[in-house]
Amino acid sequence: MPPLLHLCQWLHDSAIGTAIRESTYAFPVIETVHVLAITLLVGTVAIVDLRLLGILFKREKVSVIVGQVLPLAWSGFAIMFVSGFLLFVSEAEKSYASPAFRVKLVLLLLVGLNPIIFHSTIYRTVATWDNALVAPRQARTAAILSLTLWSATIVAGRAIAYFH
Amino acid sequence: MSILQLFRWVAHTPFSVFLRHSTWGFAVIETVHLLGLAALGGAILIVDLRLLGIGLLRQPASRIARELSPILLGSLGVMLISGVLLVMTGPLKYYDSSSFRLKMLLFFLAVAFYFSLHRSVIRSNADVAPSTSMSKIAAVVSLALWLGVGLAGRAIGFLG
Repeated sequence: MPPLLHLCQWLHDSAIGTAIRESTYAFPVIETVHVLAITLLVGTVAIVDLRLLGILFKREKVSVIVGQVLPLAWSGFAIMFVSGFLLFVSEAEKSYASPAFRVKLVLLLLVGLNPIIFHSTIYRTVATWDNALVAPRQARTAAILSLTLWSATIVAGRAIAYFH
Repeated sequence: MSILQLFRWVAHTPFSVFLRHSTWGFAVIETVHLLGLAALGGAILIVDLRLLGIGLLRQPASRIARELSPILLGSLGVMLISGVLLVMTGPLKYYDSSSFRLKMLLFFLAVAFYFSLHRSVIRSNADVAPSTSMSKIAAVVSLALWLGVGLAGRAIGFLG
């Protein structure tokens, strides 16, 4: 048996997975929390992306926007991650076989790598372009990738429920 | 024409019949509705969190609201259009759904509140001074109403 399938079955049969699956309200409630956390995370990330592209808060320093928005984005991420993991555990066996879920995991990996690359490369020199109305090309690419990948992640996440 | 007659009439339009019989119609429109929600929810949250003293504190709430206004109105438009299309996939199912009726009531209240009292509170926050308790109450009411719209919307698929 593939080790990942084994892990998914173990999670699926765990006490918490079983409890969520067998409860009437747990899944839709956790799912609602998951969607609200997405609005917080993606909403704040989009503000940074739109600032880099020169669409929002053009007259504000990029670093000031990033600094203020990051705590909200991290809070959204934490809630989204925990609620998403619980949703996954409750239907881990089904998720393993779901093409939409697999696509979503790949997208999440990419959407997670994007800010790591952004912060360790072009953002290091932010002091030189902090006041620029439009950020340098590399930062704009990161912004477009972020908006595209997050939208695709939401679409893939919604599709999980449609591909059983 | 009563609302029921309107919904019956809509249900018989060729477009509604087409949506109802299409395999992907509902799924695609629902996904667009969800993308609109991410943008609308994000814009509302950021403005209301600012009123509560969280997040973008170095800009006045009125400026944040002005900057986000195109996103808010644009995503509201996307949600309205996709929402009408969702209803068109099965008008009578929605007519009978108590969750849907509650959602429409809360949506009406949320929009009315947002564009009246909430807007005047935003206007009064033109500098970076800490929010008054009046502003905080407005933010809590706004978040509660929009959250209610979302929860009632989720309940349509779950409770009917």
